[in-house]
Amino acid sequence: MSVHQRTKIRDAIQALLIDAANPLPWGNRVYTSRSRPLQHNPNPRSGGNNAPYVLIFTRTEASEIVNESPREYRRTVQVEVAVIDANGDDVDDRLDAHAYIVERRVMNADTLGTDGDGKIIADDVRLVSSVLATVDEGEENIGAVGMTFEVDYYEFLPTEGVADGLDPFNTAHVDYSLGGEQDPADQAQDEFTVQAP
Amino acid sequence: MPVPETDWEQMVTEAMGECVDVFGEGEDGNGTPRVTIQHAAGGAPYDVDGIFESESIDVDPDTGVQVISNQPAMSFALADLQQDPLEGDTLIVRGITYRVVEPTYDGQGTVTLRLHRV
Repeated sequence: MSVHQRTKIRDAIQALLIDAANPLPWGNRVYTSRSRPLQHNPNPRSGGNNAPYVLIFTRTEASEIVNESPREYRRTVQVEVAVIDANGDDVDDRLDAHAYIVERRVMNADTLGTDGDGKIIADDVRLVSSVLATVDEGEENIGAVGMTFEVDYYEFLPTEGVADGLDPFNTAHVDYSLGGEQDPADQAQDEFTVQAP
Repeated sequence: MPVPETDWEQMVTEAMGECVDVFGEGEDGNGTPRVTIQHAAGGAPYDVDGIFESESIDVDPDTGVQVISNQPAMSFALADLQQDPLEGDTLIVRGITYRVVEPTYDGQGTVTLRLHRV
């Protein structure tokens, strides 16, 4: 099944933030979905802490036509990477430390690597904004830093190969009518033959 | 030591005592009290009993993502404490250490302490 480019982007960022050789503070707790709630403490009777963890999700995407024929879009998707942590009074310092790691790992791979077909996943990645928030409800101070990246990629839509079923554009016949008022018998005409590439 | 100042507070204190007898932490199998408190204002830690809760709550640290945590709290009759509890006091409940984040008084002789795990 074909994979949407946004899925490839999220998966690529997830791969950048999991390092088995040098485990990062969140280990492998990096998720590309925000559809399920995260359990900070799985068992209030015995303690434990699942934080920090990382969420990667896409919010909005803007598309712009950069080539009419074949139609090619430059698509810019906003990807948010949120690190959630829970700790004592130094949660802000911890969030900054987490952001330091995320920013460098993502920005140092500004094409986010290549996909299974060897194509680069992104044309450019830019850090747009960061939002930090903490709440003291809960078992500990819970904080989050959300970093928004803009990721550019290009895509042909209709997809390449769809145009192969169309008749080739070989000749064009043009009639000229000045002000739209010329008699058809008086109109100039041109026949164009498209040169084969 | 906080003392009931009115007949009503005395009645509330006695009622709270009954509730603690039923719902309180009590002692473990070795007869050791499960709750110890130490006041940040000074004084040695001492054993006390109260009603402990740790309700699951949804927390959203401005990410739009649902984070499930717990909100531990402990309720006491004020008369059972040696001092008025304040932010920064420390409790050990079932072997886990908590710090008092917010004491909430009902004005009638009991107090509920919102806790953070240390």
